[in-house]
Amino acid sequence: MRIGTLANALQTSTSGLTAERFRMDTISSNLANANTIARPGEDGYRRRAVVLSSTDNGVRIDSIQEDRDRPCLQKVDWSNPYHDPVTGMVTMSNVDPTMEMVDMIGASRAYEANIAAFNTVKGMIGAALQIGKA
Amino acid sequence: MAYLDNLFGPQADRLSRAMSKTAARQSMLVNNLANVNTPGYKRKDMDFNILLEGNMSNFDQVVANRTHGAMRAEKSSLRLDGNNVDMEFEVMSIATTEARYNSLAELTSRYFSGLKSIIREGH
Repeated sequence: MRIGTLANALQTSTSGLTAERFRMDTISSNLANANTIARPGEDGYRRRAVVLSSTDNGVRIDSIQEDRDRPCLQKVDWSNPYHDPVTGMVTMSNVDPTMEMVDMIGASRAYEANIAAFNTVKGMIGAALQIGKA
Repeated sequence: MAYLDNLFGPQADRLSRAMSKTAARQSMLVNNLANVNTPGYKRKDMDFNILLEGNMSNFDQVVANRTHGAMRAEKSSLRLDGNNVDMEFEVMSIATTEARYNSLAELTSRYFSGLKSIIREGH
């Protein structure tokens, strides 16, 4: 890989945009499933987190990890068809909406920063192409 | 042919090399920004303010020495994930580098229009 070409910088920004966008998608999925109730005998929805790693030319999405550490929320709800026949408990997700909102703002800001960097590099390429025109 | 080599002189070469160094730094800074949320990532940067302080007579030599090993990780991390990218600092550096690059492009442009003017005998 050649460092220093501006075209490479554009690709780097794009990889950053993809990664942040993917984080946003995952956060949306977490928020959408915050109140999901598990079917009897099944595990509740686990919060998903994106694992990023750096490459020579930007950032790469490595995997999605499910949060197995925090227990799923449980509550008594006899009116829900999925309740436990003995205890009346239903299993919900282990998503903490506050945490998701904070992550979402972080991903959104990083996305904007990558767009700004992309436009800057685009302007620089334009400036280089103007050499010798006047 | 020797005349043609002399026509562009060392100045055009220096300008183009300065532009390519600036572009290389911009590339690194953009990479830092793309990795702002990567755990354990350490920022990379290039310091070429030193070059400007160097003596112009050995300018080419200084540039040659600096070409390798210019990348370095700096600043220890204050974040829990071991990442040491500071978004504000990166954006500021990107803006500085952009301004530097654009002024170099403008300088190169003016250098060539000066040259053109001479070729046309001032017309």
